[in-house]
Amino acid sequence: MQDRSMGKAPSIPEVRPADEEILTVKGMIGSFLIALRNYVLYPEDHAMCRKSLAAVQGRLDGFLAGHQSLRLDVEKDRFLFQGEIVHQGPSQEDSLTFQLFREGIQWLEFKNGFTAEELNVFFKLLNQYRTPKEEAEGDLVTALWEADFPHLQYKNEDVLWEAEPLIDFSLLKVAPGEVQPEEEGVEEPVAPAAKIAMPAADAPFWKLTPAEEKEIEAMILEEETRDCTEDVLEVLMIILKEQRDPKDFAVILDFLTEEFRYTLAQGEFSFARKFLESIRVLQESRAPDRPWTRSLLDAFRQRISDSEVLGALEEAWQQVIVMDADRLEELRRSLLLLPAKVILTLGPMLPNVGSPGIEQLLMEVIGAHADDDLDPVKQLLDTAEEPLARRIIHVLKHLPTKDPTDVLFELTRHAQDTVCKDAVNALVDRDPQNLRKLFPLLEDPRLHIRRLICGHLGKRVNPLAEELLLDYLKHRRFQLKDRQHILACYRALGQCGSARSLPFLQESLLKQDWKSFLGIGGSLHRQGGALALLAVRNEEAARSALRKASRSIFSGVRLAYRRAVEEDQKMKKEPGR
Amino acid sequence: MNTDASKQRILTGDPFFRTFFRLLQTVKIHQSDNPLLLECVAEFVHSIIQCCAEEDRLTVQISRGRFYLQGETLTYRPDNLTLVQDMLQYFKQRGLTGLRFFASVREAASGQIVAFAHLLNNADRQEEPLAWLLLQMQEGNYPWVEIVLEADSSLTAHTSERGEKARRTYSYAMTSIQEVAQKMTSQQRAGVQKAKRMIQNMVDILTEDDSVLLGMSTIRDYDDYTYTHSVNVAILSMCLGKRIGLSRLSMERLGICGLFHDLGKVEISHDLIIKPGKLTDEEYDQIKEHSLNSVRQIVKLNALRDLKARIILPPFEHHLKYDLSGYPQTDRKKPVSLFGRILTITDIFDAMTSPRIYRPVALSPDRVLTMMLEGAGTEFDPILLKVFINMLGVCPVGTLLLLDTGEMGLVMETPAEAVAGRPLIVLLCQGGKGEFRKGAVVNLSERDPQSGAFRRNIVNSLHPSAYGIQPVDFLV
Repeated sequence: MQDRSMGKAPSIPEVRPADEEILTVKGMIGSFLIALRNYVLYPEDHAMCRKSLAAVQGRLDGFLAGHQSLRLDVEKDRFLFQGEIVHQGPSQEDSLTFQLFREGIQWLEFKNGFTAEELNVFFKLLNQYRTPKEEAEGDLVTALWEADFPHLQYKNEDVLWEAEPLIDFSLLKVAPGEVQPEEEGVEEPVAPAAKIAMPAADAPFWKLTPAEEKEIEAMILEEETRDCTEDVLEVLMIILKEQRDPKDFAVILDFLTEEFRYTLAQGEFSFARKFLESIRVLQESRAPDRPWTRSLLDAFRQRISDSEVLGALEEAWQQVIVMDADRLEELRRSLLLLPAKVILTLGPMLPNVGSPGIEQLLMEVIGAHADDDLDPVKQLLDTAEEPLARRIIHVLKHLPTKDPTDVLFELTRHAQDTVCKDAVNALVDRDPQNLRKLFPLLEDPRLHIRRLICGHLGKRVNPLAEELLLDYLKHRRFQLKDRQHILACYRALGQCGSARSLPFLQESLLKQDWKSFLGIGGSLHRQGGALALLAVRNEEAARSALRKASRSIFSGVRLAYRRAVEEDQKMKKEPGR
Repeated sequence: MNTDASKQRILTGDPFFRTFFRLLQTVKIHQSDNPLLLECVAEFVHSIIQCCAEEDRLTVQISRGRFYLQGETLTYRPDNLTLVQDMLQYFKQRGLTGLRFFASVREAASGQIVAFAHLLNNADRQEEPLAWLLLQMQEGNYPWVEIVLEADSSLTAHTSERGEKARRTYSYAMTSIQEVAQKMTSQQRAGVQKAKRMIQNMVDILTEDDSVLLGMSTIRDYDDYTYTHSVNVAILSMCLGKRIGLSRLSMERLGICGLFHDLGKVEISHDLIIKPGKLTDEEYDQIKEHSLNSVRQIVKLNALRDLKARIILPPFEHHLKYDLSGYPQTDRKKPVSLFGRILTITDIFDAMTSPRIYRPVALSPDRVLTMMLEGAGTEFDPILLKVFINMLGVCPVGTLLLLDTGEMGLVMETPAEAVAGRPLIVLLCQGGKGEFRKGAVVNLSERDPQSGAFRRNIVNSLHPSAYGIQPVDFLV
């Protein structure tokens, strides 16, 4: 029987408590039960919980001020106060009396001074162990002991050993058999007690010196504040290296999965890094006598790259862990030691990290992994929403070795315009030659994509863009019969083109046929030619053609020139048009 | 009044003994109206009231050479040791076994208190001090104090209840570790709930008085050594932890480490464990794997990650030795943790004092301590070893002593006030069939009043196991 009471338990007095006292205790238990129910229904910081906790505390304080203590005897379905029933309820699994009874608690005693904090913790424990838990999760009695309430005492029976007989120690054999000390010569040649007694007479020998006492204090402080994470990881690595049984190897890895998660949650990234380095060394050692380790370690590394484990990072940076530069560097190095699949876990974290430093770090890590293997990125992008996709595009744009063109090109078809735009920009930024691949987007149904492509084509003097546009316009390859679009293409050609395009543009503007004489037809391309020539940089021939057009005897040509000038001015004012 | 503070005062006797002693000394020097004396009286009264938070009286008793306040064993500390020894001597000279002060002392006139102090001081000049005191107190007017003639039944009952609890806890702890080991052997998941509860019980017991549990740690089971050994190591470790001032939660963790430190032995074949004679190198290598095995078995326990993580390291380290020269030899070169160093000491002590198949007769506890002293600084942390020897005494509890009177006795405890480490022992009387029965409890510090020489002296220490003695049968 466990007695967590200080001194002797107060005995039940023979005098019956006053009716008023009983009513007070009944009221208190009522408010206690209401508060407990609120703890089940609401989070601890909910107003309902706080309010009901205050109500219980008020009643308890009032009672304890006058009585010093309140002891409640526990039975299966009732509480007794000084022998009087103060609460009777059903003996159901979820009733408080039954819960306490089930745990073997015989009485509870609240002492004067019982604080709101103690009450809060007590409620939390009652709530936590409301229903019987799996053995691993502990029990109420053990938890009450560990909570070590200064003003709450209780007594409980050893219910876990109900039917277990006690060992009769006198029946235990203390020696192998009938040993006769004299015959066996077991008496020791010297009187060891006297031998050891000598320093005893010299008290200073046994007395701890102040320095030793200080050292002990330091030892205790170190032990009681010790973070055992690194030790556990190291010891388990030692065991892994020695392990010969695949099943046990797997068991250790399972535990290490939990431990690794905890390490991350605590922000102990240097431990995590060292551990992952050891795992890598172990994996690379390719122990020939244990070929099965490879697949188990592979699976382990995949497992610890999952969100179930790496989700702990979000706990770490949502808490108060200071992410200084060293810590971030350790985290970066740790994450780089994981397989590329980690992208699938880190990616979704990106939009939510909130810290630019961490976001940058994750993008670097994703980039480094993607540079080895693009498949996880592709997988990630299959379902990526705009914020993630845009960040991934940024990463892909800077990949040093792997070519992400296909992935980026895929993204140009993304439902979100911003994503497409970023993808296009990334493609062009990575390699201007990508314009050839992007050129079909010039006829994309989405106006802004068409404009974007046009913008890229006309961004600067660019033989590739010139070639593409020239071919497109000259051979009338456009499927899209949109006036503005075609004009924009002409203008882009002017911006990116060279002398090579001038003949085509001059002809487009100044072409003399019967339609131009009559001022009908062809005005779009004439105007386009003019627009293009207006955009051409530093080409005297273009200016000359434009002058000619402005003085042309053909009204259609003059008109085209005039409109082109107007259009050009508009475009300059509104570049996005 | 804060009950914790009150309990603390009771456990240390502070400031009661200090003010009582001061009163008894001051009253010898000054007149009854002297301000200094009156100040002493006031302090003395105040110290009694402070201890009366839960009861309306303060009972001070002596039993087996120790002070008990309100039924609790007085905790000795370096700073109160001399004072307590002086007070024990003072009580002894007057044949006093106890005093009970009532809270009504606060209403007593200071003159009455001074008169009472004079009475006590004068008693030792009487032929029969106690009888004289009783008479004087009957004639005088001292309603606020009475003499407790013998250890009252509540003290005995409390001690006996504690002993019962200790036996039950030991028994349950042993079956808990047995159950865990059996489940592990049959590849079942084993939980730690029962073991944890028993360790918590042990912490409660030793917080009150560690002598009971130290007595229990003498239990030996030749046939199933590992289980008693595990419980003993847990007990000894927690007691050592208490001595150095560990918190309750740390003692709990240390106890669990002790209980599970040899769990890895379930992986070693029983035949090898009970093999008599010298082991081959290969066999010894297998034995040496048990500390790593223990870690693996702890990992397999059906317990929360947090608990398992906190109890892995000490079992791993318990054979590493202080200078890391033990096993397992690995690349890890970090100093052994505090708990690891504690386990190293307690594990060796219990192992060497237990008879084993390869060493049928165990070494006596004092001999083992002597041997362990040689390893201070290399095998063992020298400071912790010092505390450990201090805790067990020169003659550790359970040591069987042969006395110069021809008597044999088992060491019960070595009170802090003992002269030159001379312990309290329970004499063993041999019955007609050669069996041993419990005899009187004697203090080896007792001297012959005429000659001043010690009444009994140690001739030699013997092995309880060699005489088929299970010390706990006589101690708890």
